[in-house]
Amino acid sequence: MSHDRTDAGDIRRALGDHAFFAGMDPRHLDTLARMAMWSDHPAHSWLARAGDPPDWFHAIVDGRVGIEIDTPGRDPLIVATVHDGDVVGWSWFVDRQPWQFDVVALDDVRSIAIEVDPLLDACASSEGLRHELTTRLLRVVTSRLHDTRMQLVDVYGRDR
Amino acid sequence: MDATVDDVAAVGEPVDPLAPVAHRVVAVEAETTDVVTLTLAPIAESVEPARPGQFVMAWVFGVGEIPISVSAVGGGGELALTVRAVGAVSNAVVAARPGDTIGIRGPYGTAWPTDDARGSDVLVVAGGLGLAPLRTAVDELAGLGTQRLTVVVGAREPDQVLYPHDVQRWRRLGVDVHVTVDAAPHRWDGAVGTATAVVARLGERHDTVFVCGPELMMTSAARAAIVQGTEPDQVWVSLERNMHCGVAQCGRCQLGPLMLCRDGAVVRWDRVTELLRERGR
Repeated sequence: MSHDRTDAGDIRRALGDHAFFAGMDPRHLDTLARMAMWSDHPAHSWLARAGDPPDWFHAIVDGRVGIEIDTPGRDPLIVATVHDGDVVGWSWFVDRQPWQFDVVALDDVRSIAIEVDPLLDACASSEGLRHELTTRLLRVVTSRLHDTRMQLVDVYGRDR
Repeated sequence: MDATVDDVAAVGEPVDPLAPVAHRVVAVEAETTDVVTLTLAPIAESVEPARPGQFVMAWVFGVGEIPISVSAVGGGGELALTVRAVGAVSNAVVAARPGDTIGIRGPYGTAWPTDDARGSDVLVVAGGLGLAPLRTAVDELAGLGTQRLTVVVGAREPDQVLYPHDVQRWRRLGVDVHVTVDAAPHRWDGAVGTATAVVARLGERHDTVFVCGPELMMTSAARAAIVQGTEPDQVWVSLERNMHCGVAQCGRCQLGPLMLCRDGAVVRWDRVTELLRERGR
């Protein structure tokens, strides 16, 4: 993974263009841009491993990442892919929990990485930013919960 | 005046619309571990060519009869049936070998409105075996000059994706194809997640939407398409119940006012939305 803080204006524009942050108050985008950087991940590299501290929150700009579960006795299994316009790593938002799953770059991936500690500080001091992020993350959680339920039902299994 | 035996003879033998027409299995292709596609050719007379989305009743002599969607039609009355082994008859169909005889009657039911989709932006969503009744529709749409054609294919695992060669061919024809599975190993180069998630991620309004697959998946994908702006009367789904006679006489496939063997399997979403919300239908 390589990080690049070189062009703050570029990051600010990219945040404004990213689907997850669409419609966010420009002042909050300015705040986020100050704690964000470009992050590049070659294919097959890890963005995070289960149990890692939640230091970074990634908004995917290009490429796919896989959320992966490694179970002893069988090959690792990708249970969801996250694509450009989506985000990965939101456990930090709830009691700063560590990463719950492995996250692997399936392609060469570019993300906007946002540093979690200053982000939590900013949320603590700005109700507006906290509300904006809560609403957006709830959308992500709702969508993933829906997917997980459908996968749990195994709709494509035999006799269905 | 009563008809005499001579009168009947003069107009020929009466044709029983429920009599199966003998077909020979000419090819068997394994699609997955428990799904095969049989290619059948008529031995003498043939049935009418099926339109995309229609089904036939396939009779394995001495075992029984089941409804199967037609997944391809060819010259000389050939037709292909893609079948998963789940019961006695489907197991017998899957076990068929070239040279075996299977009785066919039909085709029955409604078809995907492919002609009406000409020139429009079409989304096709297929889950699992649901790609079989949509296969000929995609083939037809790809050659119709639709404004845009997007196909979302969902499956349980990568090796459960039907017709991988067709998927590649459709891509070469300019069709925007997205394949997604419920879980995958590292080497998988598609998406992992539900077909509904792909529809939502596309984030686009489509003029016409065709959906076929497990009912839960169809319901979810149809709603997602409507959220993106497609009118409910432009969403079509393919519903199955216990099709038995194929001619709306036995009532086993009844869904509210509909006999799905005649009024379906392809139905407009707004006609069945409320029916599908009733438990036990």
